[in-house]
Amino acid sequence: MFKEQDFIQQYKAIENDLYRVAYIYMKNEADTLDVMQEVAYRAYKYRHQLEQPKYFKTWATRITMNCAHDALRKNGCYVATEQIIETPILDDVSSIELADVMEKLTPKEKDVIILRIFYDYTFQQTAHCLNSNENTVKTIYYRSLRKLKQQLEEGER
Amino acid sequence: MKKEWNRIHIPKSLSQQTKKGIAKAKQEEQRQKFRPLRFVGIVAALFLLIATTRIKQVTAYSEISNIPIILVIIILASGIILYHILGHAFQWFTVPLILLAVALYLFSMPYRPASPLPLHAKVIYTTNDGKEANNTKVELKVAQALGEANVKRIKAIHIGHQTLTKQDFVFTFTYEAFRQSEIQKAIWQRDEKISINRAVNTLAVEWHSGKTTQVPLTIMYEFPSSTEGLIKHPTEDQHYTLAEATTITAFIPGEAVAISHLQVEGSTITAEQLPITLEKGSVIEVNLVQQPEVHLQQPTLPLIKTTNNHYEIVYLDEHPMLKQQKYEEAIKKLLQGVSA
Repeated sequence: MFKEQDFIQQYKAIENDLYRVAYIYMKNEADTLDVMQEVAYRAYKYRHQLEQPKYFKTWATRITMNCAHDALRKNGCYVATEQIIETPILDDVSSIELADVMEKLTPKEKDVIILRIFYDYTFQQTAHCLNSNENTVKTIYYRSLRKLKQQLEEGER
Repeated sequence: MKKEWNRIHIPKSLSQQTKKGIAKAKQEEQRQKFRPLRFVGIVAALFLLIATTRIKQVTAYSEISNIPIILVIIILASGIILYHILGHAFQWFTVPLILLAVALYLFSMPYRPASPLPLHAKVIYTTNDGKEANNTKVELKVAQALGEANVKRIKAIHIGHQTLTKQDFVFTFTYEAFRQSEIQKAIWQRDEKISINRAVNTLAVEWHSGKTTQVPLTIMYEFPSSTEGLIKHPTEDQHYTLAEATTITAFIPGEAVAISHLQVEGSTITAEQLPITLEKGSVIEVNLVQQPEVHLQQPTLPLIKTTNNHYEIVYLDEHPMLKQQKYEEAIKKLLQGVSA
């Protein structure tokens, strides 16, 4: 069980990564910061539910993704299927590119790409984190890669 | 893509947002700690609420009935203000506070009895000057029936067109007022000094709250045994033998019938000849005449007033209001007896 100090220490260590995850979804700083507040709230509130501290980052990332999904749903931008999320106004030029590249991915596809590419998780870890089947994760991953490749090619033109 | 990932700008306010989120969660934890206290508070307030209504039902306890509604509003308003000032952690007290306010409001509401109240009117004969009827005081002993607290809430009692004032929870009005009211005279029993009237009527009790309650009224008559004067009465057999030497001082007419004269051993005694002293064992024959206007609704029978310390009263089986037909028969029989 987490003590308060331990929790804060560990949370601070991964705070930036969590922000980046949230940003991929929200694509603007203000909304991302709102999501991060909710992430900190939920993580602290449910910290006792985390049985193994070594999975803290995975657990916190999962919370971040859920919060982002909830925020998108709340804002009416959430598209669970293959539909494309409408492009929000971007306020941080330095981060536009990655967000733009991932623009055409569904939230589920973003989950997989973030964990596989940016977190360097294996398929097994990704599936575990997303509470999903490994083969399903693989399918989503490769489909997402195709989409990203297509997106990048279009961007080069 | 990894480069892009690392290029995502991390705002300085991120740690601030984190702190806010954690603070919010901490506040919620604090609130959770208050949960048992809140439960106790709710239970206590509910108990108070039930006790309040119960007290009002059983004893109509009115000493705290004048809590102004403004107090309730102040409590509620201060609760809301405190809630906003102190934040969510103090939310636990809001529910008990509201219940408390409701309880106080119930306290402040005037007591309105759900069922009619059993009032008792006690009629006390106090005079001996031959005009008993006019000077009789009628007392409504409402205090015993209602409890003092309730009586305090009574503004007035209306009997027909009469409005009664109150003094020490006993409503007193003259016999005339009583007679003119919708409460009818009682029929009492000869062999009892204290008789119970069978008539039941209603009073309108006006509360200070403005409400009026119709209350059934039981009238109880008391006849003091030490009242001076012997009142002989005409009975069905028309003849009456005096048990002792008696001075007759007056004939008191009834409303239905009056005494025209007495026959005492062949002599006629009229009202003009009174007072007259008759010996023990004298046989009196009572002669009655019907009154010009017979008010069967308010019947009184004629009385013979004497100076003896003895007291007897007219007897009929039933109250005329309840058994008017029987009463009429009794009067008829009485008159038949006179004419026989």
